[in-house]
Amino acid sequence: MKTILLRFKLELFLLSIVTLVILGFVIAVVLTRNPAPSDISQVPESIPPLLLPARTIQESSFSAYFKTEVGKTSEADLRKMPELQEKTSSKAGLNEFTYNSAFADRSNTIFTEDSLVAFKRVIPVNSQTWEAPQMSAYEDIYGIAEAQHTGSTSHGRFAKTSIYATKGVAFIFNPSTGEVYEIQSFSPTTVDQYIAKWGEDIHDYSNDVHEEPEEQAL
Amino acid sequence: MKKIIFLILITFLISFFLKANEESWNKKTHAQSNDPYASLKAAVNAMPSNSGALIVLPNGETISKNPNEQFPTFSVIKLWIAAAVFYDAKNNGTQVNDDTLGLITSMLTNSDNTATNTLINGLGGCSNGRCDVRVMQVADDDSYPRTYIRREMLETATRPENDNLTSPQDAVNFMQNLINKQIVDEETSNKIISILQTRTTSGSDPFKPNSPLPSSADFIGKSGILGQGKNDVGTFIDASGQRIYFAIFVPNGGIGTDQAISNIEQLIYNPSSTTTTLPPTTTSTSIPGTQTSVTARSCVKVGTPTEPKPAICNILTTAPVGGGTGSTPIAGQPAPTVEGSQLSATIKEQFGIEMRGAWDQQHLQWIYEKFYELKQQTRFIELVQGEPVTLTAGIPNQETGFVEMSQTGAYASDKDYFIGTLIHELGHAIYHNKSMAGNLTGEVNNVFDRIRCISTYSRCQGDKTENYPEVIAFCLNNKAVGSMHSEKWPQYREIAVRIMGFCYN
Repeated sequence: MKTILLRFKLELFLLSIVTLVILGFVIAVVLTRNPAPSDISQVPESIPPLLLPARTIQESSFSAYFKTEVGKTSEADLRKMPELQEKTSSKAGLNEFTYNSAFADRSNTIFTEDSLVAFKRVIPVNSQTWEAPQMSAYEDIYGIAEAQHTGSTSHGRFAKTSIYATKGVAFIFNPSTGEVYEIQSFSPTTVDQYIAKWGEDIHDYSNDVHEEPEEQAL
Repeated sequence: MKKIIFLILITFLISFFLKANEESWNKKTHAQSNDPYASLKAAVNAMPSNSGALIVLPNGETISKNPNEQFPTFSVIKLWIAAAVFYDAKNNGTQVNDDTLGLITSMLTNSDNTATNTLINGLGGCSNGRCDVRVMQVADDDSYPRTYIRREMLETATRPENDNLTSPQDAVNFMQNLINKQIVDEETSNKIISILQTRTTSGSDPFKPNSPLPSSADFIGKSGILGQGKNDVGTFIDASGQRIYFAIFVPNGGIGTDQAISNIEQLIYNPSSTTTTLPPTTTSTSIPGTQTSVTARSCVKVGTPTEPKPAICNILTTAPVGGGTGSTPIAGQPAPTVEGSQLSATIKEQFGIEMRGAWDQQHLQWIYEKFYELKQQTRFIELVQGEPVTLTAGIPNQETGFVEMSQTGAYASDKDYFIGTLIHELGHAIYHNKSMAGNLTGEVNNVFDRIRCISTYSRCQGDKTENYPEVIAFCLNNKAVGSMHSEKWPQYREIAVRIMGFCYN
């Protein structure tokens, strides 16, 4: 009887060990799985999310985007961020901080006013894969734009700027592909004030006059 | 107890040995007799040494060449992508919605790369040679030990180590699992089969125009084409009414590959047939993508898909398509003669370009011949199909969102200038209408930011959107709107080859 009991205990012990090993394996597999694409990252509500796969959002080039907030982050905080470069501002009365983006000619930029972040723009594009979020995803969040303009100095004649002035956000995107080229955040304002203060990239090409001394306009 | 187990084991091994010997003998005897598959075996044997094939006959016998070697999948990988989407929905306890089903259908029937990439991204996407586990989940099944999904469609073809790979054996396994209703579940398998049947019976498959098989064969499969490479994977009912599976991979086939594969399929269907009666391959239907083809030998999957691959997997031979040098145009098939009155319709039918307006026959002929060549050699047609070209009496442009082109003035008689300008205008369409991942505008613009415009074209000097079409035109026509700054070309060429798959200079 004692032997049977001992044997039973031994089998129970072995069964427990096997169960634990299997359980541990399952937990390890679950934990090491790649994270599913994150639709909305853990950022303050006032910052438009970067609707990109998690692995893109985790790129270090976007860290400053997540660490800064319009009306809250101070210049002193910005100066502590090694990825930021302080520049002579292109806008009177504002200070400018930039960091690299996927587009060589369009940096990610933060403007400060009265020592606080007043405006920031980010290029939500992966510089390796060139993936970009879709405008429709932002329209799902923000609804119909308060104003929309066609033509962008930085992104071409067909690019559109959707302005959500009262919500403090604007998007520049390609209407053909839906790819968002740029996200802008600022303090809520009116459309006119946005255009006057932050809308210098909007460019209506239809009024341009081309002089083509060398070749015809093609 | 131990003795009994030992005896059972020994008996099993002896039986196995005897059975194997018997099969080997049967094979030899069969081969010595009037082998009905002798022609098929000879045809498979005659395939290029760097190609692969596996044919599973109704009796289970196989005819093969390099069945377990890995080959670039081209569009064949879309079978696994489709399965992954269904699998993912099932995992999440949801149904594949109509929109997604539409994308899957477009991916499998029209080999729609944009739809494929949308589906891949919906599963988490791919980056730097690795795809999200959700993309890989079906390919990671034990049935497909040599199958890797590592990139989206038509992405960075210059990095062969990031290519999608499979083996003939894996591909046949997929088709067998599909017929056995084991791709996710019975309902999913039936859906995929139904879509693939539509592909064949509707005649909408532009990649298999000369199939030698009758509709009664109930062909189900997927082809893949990139540059001169060609794959075909499928299953059908042969002339004797029995099911056959096959997978053929020719990564660097050159002209005539289509016909050779058709011949083999005809022999699979009816081993006693002759192939001389097959219709000639009069039109190329390749969707070119790259000048680089790859072969990987002995690259065996180890560990999980996210683990680094064995070094051998990265030792890939690269060779220009069709044996060209990378800068020398490869002699493709000449464009078949088309009657003048049919040129416009043919351009629309073959290249998806609608020629609007009263175009003269000479210009249509130039366009037809050039587009035919570009379709064989490059991705250009794939990127511009669907764009109408409207005849204008004014200045060619794409400022209004669609291409307007002239056939008068300098364009009346200078073919190179006419074609270069037309490609330039269509290059605008690529710039504006294709995703950045597909048209690499970001990379071209970043080079522009460093070294400015590739050509002397005045509008290009300060406008990067004019630089891109000049790059495309130089790549494909060696003449664009402006004159070329040749010293800058090497920096642009590398990207242009990745966009178009091939440059003529």
